[in-house]
Amino acid sequence: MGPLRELSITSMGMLLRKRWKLVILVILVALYPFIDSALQRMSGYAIGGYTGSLVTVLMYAMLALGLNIVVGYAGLLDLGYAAFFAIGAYSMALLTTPHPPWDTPFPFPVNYFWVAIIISAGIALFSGFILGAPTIPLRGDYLAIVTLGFGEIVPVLFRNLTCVTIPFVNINCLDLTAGERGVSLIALPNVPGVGNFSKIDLAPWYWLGLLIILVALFLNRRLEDSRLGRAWMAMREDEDAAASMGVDIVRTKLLAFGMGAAFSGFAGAYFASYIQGVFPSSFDFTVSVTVLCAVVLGGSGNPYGALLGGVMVAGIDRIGLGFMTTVADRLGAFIPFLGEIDFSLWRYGLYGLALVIVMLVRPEGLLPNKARAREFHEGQEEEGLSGIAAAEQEVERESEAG
Amino acid sequence: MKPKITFRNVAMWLIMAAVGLFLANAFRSDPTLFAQQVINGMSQGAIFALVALGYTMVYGIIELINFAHGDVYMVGAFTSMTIASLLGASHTSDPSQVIVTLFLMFITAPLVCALLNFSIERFAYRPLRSSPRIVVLITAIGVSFMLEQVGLWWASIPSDLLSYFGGSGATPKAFPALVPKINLLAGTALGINLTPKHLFALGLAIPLMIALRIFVQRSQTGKAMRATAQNRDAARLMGINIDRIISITFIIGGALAGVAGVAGALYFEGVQWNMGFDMGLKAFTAAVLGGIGNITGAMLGGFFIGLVSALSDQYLAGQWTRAVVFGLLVLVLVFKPTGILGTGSSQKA
Repeated sequence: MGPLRELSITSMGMLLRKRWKLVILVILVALYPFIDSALQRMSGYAIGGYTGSLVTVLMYAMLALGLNIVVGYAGLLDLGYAAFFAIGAYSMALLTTPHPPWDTPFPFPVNYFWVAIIISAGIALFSGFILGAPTIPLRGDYLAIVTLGFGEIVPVLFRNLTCVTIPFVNINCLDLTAGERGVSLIALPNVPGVGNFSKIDLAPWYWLGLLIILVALFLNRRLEDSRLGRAWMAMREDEDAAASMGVDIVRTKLLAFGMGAAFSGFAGAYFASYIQGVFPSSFDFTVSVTVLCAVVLGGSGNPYGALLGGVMVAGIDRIGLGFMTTVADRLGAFIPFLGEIDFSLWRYGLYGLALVIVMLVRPEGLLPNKARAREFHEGQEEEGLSGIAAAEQEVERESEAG
Repeated sequence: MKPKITFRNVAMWLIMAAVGLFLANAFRSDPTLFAQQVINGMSQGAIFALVALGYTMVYGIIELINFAHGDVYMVGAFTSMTIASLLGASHTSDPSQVIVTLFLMFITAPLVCALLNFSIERFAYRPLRSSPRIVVLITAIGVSFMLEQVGLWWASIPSDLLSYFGGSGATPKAFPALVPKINLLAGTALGINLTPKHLFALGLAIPLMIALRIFVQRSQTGKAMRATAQNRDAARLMGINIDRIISITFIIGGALAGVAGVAGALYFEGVQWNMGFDMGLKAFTAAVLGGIGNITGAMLGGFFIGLVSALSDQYLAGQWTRAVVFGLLVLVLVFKPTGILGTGSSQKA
């Protein structure tokens, strides 16, 4: 035990000395709910109170980590990722609500939140396989559009499945999803010996979110280095070459869709329990695009990039814009027109601008994966399809020199 | 080539037969209602087709799904409503003022949209000409968001400046009823309602499409466009100025979206900041259905999607129409990615 113990102590020391900034960041993040309440008390409740918003930010970070598998690792452009988020959330809601559309709620044991969240992720995984299957032969843009179609269809289904009749099994006009009213009263997480989470104290939600993100990050890292991860990357770089090297494209693609969907379903179930209700309007195209923005801006293919992107995009949306509005409001006392600006209405413009600028300047994102970054710049070295433009430039350069 | 009996083909024919039977039954039970929905569908479809042309032309030439194209249509609709506001035209104005307003709308909106589409290509897409396709696609999504932001601001311009706008930018704004809602077939025994807004959509779209087709098939520029779509490098070697041809394509596509914007605002009697998103998806579905890159295909696809939406509104339920249209999109892409008239392959995409 001796040497190992020594080693762990020295490595802790190394960590503290070399990565002290990271260590401080981790401590600050972990203790944020306390810092927040201290801030609130000291400032007389003028600033702070961001824990609730941060839970949503964490949820977007989870989604970004899941989409990173689909878009970043496997290179499948998914524009309908919110579909799986919706499926996870609705599964959670229907599994645990005390007033399900059928007569009796599912007979889960006391702590059924934890069971239900796993089942919800499982249902999302399964739906990932189902929705992924027809897209196997499609590539690039066509794949993007089919997933976009699914992403539009799924909320329509949840909105309209208010009278489901299945012949022969005695189901007659079952109000499955309650339309716009949604499903409410969803199970809360329960820690044995401590009790249920509540909507009053948001700190446990925050820590649960952090825990899920740590697990998601770990899974992302392990998947990246796994045999499957290498198959995804091979497929991303060249599908035909990968197939001829023995990568089973069907299996690899389905697993990418399924795993991405499972992450999304997990986040959806967590979100449904946190909000205590699911409504079809929370799962539209904006969610899919926000998560895609997060992955692309952060750096697709790198889980830390996706995490950073998720936190940035959702953080600016949930906290930054509100903060800017408050500041502008205060400044409005001096500069009249500033007081009327509501920056939360600027979301689209800012997302759009950020996407365009990042694509023009740094298409691989802020924290790129090295191999992925090379792929993004491949075309520029070759200049187009056959290098004619490069040849033209060469000629121009020569003529200028001569 | 002998048609193969595969699962795909059988499934496709079964679905088509089911839809055919359903429609035949609908026609039998109430022919007048059916005919009315066909007219509505064709008029909507004309607008879809105009927007679809922009998608298909751009995809044909640079293989980009121009996500922002639907929002260019929105800008067209907003431009026409701005002109109506500036000229103070309303449903009580005298006919001469209405005609002048409409004329100005149909001149200005295409010009604005053509310029806008040209600038989008020039400043956002051209620098990325040699980047991977996903980069350009995401840029297009970004441009689309920026235009929607412009729509939000535009719609919230106070009504003392532009009388038909104002209030929250997010709410739909009613378009002034400039064209009277008279039934042109009132005296006949058909029992069908055909109003000037139907005629506007159809009467503008069909001549424009014929003109476009003649332009692309007969003119020197059209020939260059087709050559560029076939093989950009070879076209460059033949002395075609690729940048100029791509710009012309975006300008034509933008102008058509502008006309569609005016016709759409008149037809749907309202504008909204995110009207371009739905229109874009439907028009893109139309373009894919007709075989993307194929101009005639986009026109037929547009009319087809219009018909499907109108019939679905009538015979299923309005809230299912989105699912029907996107379900159709998914089915086409999965079963016949080349579309009805297309010749390319899904591998190209």
